[in-house]
Amino acid sequence: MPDQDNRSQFLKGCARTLVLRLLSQRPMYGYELATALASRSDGIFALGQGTLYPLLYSLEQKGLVRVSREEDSPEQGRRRRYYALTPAGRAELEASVSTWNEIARGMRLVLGANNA
Amino acid sequence: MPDPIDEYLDAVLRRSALPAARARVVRAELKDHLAELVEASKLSNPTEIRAMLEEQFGTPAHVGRSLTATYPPKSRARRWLIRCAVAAALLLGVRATVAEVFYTVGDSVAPEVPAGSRCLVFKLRTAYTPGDIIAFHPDADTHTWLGVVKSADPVGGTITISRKNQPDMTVSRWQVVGRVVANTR
Repeated sequence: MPDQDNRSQFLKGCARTLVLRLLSQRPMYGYELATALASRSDGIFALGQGTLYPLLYSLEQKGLVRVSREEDSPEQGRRRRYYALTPAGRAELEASVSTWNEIARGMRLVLGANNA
Repeated sequence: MPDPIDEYLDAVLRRSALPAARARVVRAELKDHLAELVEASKLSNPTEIRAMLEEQFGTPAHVGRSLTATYPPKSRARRWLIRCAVAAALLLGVRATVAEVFYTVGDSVAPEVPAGSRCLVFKLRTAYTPGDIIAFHPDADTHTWLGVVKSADPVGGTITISRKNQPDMTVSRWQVVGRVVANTR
């Protein structure tokens, strides 16, 4: 289903910026981040939650996020890792938001003209 | 009764190519997330739990592949390259300071070290006694020679060496590479 694949790829690209945005507000652990992403986007970014962790690990490898603390979750044997934004991540977020605003403006201009 | 979360994670990690240490960290983190999903779902049937996990979290194949992609083969190869470089550097350091293997081409100290054998020269020892077989650099020659210590002058820092069918020679301590401690015969 090409349309579904395109939408999925587009959402994944946007999810990176949104994850950085959420972590800029406060550190979060994985499940908390996934539910926040889904609820605050009105379900639009309710991605397969397994895709969140490769994204987080990739951001961590790039130095954009870091594990700020680890604590034992209420159930024994489970460990929550809280992720926080690094200064490089904050700079990346600003650049991404700026790019998004520019793209969105361009889209509105063209789509708006075609629909006139 | 096997835990459906553990079974699901086993399936995910089987399909990923994560290094063992990383896989342990990932497993612990995902287990916490999946436990929250199960708790929120209020499901208790293992089959239903597994189906819910695959729907909400992703199929093991998809999640496993995604995790593998975070550590591409190039970065793994780079880590191995760094490890090999460190090992080589350590070996070179040992070779330069502790011990070195030489291949004997002549019979200057035969039969103790016959021609064609390989000998291990220990470099850390600095005191030599008569009878020791040592490796040294003779004057104006970059090769390494073997010889038997006839006498050592601790005050003057010189060592008299004998070699088969050659006149005795005297060398300074700084010309000595080390003492032969073993050789293949």
